[in-house]
Amino acid sequence: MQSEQPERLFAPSTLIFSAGITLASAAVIFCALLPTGSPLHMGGYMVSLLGKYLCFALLALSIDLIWGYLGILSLGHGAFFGLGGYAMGMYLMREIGSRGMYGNPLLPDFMVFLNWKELPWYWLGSDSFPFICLLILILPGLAAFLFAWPAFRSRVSGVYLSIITQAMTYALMLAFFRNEMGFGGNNGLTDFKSLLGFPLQSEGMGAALFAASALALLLAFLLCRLIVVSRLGRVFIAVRDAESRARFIGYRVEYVKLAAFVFSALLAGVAGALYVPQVGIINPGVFAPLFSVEMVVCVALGGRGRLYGAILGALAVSFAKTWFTTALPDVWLFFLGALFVLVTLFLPGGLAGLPDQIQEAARKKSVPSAAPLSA
Amino acid sequence: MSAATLAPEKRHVDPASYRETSVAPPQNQSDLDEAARAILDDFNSRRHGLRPGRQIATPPKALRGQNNISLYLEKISVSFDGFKALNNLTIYIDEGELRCIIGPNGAGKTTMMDVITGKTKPDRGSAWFTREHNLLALDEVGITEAGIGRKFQKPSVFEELSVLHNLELALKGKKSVFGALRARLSGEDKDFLEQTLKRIRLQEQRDMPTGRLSHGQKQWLEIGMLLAQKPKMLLLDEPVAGMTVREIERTIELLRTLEGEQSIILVEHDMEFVRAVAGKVTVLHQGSVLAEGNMDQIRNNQAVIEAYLGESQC
Repeated sequence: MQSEQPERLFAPSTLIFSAGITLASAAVIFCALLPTGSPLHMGGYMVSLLGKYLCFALLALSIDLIWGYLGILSLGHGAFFGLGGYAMGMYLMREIGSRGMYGNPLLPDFMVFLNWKELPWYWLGSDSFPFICLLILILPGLAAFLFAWPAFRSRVSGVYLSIITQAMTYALMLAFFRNEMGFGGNNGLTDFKSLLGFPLQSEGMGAALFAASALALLLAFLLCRLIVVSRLGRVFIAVRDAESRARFIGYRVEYVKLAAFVFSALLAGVAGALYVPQVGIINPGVFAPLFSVEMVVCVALGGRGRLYGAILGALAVSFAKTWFTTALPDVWLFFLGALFVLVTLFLPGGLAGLPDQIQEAARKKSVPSAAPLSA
Repeated sequence: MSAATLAPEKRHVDPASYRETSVAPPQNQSDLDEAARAILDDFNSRRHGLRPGRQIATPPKALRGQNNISLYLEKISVSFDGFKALNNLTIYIDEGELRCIIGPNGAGKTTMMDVITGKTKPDRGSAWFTREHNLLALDEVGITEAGIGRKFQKPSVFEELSVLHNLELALKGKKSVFGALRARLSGEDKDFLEQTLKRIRLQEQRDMPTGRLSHGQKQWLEIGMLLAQKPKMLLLDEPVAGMTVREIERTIELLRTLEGEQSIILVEHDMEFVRAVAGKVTVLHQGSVLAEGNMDQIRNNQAVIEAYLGESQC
């Protein structure tokens, strides 16, 4: 967004940020693994709360890749997050086995409750973890492809695209609310007991899931970074700023957008899959348009087009949300709205843009009228 | 293109008869041709299961006979809500030729560019780039790949990227998603970019975001981006609009060095500039060719004086 020099993969900001994430995560894991009596010990609740934040950060990162660099504002990324989450949820449901309330070794509780006699075909294979890992990528990826290809090919963009992303996630929400859909309807999938045979409630599992989330976030951050510093990243910016010009120098804009959108959906799916075991539930609420919009607000607050800005924004908003919803639950949405307005007005670059903004202000002060360059 | 070989030969009026005349063919005759053509097109498209209006044809006769025609537009018509932007436009551009297109506002100059570059699909007519590429069957990217580069009227560069990165993006070669992801500049590419920078006189600004360039510099950068694409044909839409006199002089120099290397179609309002770059001039009026020839012939052409020069002098 700001560079005059060709960017390197490990620019100073990237290094600092990666190191920061790694150190903070290592500290959390260390504290989580301390014996219960020790003063620095971190409880299981706190660890999974922080792990949840990391999942939101990964989702925000995936939104920033397409919004900040390609100008595709998706107001429905919760859909891909949710699909990844549901895939993971299916596996966790099957892991419960006969420990469920009805003790049915094959059918999850809600199916017994609905009087279903056998597993629907789309639940087949959901007891295999490797298969589910594939599904976590395939489901959001396929959904993104099926949604985005017709949209980009017929050159739907801007606010129209945003609206149909919103419609997509809303449609999914309505579908998943239905009991006949076979995903637990209103209640979603919950009451999970174990993952890969290890109990979910144990502290070790909490720390492991947190570590997995941190690792996924770090890897995804570096992957996105790899993309945006390549020539492809500059093609993204070209498409964002002058789409038709990019076509006339020979780039198939629809392929570029499609690839970025699907990749972004994969990241969102992974985030959802890591989110579910840490919060212990997945329900159609993740498909609610409000959730997706909240994530977009996170990106805007953090500062879009920088990758690490989205992560910072998601962490900051999540912390604020946790605090507000316990201390002043009624004020949260007003606060979020006000914050969004204020940031848009006074911090166009978001939190991450703050240092640049201060520098710029200082420069303007020292040189009252910086003469524009011209020849 | 495979369907092209299946398509039966279409009826064409021998374009050679139009080539030397400086005045458009009589209106009645062309109306008849148009009607016959429309019926034939409709029949063909039904036979091949194509949407009406989608043209697939064998290369026109004139191209099969002659090797040196680079761009062939025959009887192109485009209308927007009843307004005929192009009306039976027929133009041929030779290889390596520098052709200026002039005409009053609304004469169809920009629409012609849009048709050539695939931005607008004509209602009827045929457009071929050399004997290989049927322009009407290709999209914008396909046409760019075939070797036609376009500079827009309003300078449009990627303002957040540096001058060098703008040129790099335009560089002929890897334009696919994964190609771009892995793309590295080879030594040869770097030399070529340096040379292009030198040619457009932007060496010192190479790492500057292009949003900070002056208007004239942006115009040059866009020409540079065209050159980096290594096209066989350049379409320049008012390249000197908004330039200072000195910048115009430099642009003329630049264009002169390009002549012969590529075919150039230059759409321009500025008569002084057109006279300075010289070459053959085509006058468009109300969507069709009014006259063709060198500048002196054009200036003495009665129809042109009435339609264009007369209008601008009053």
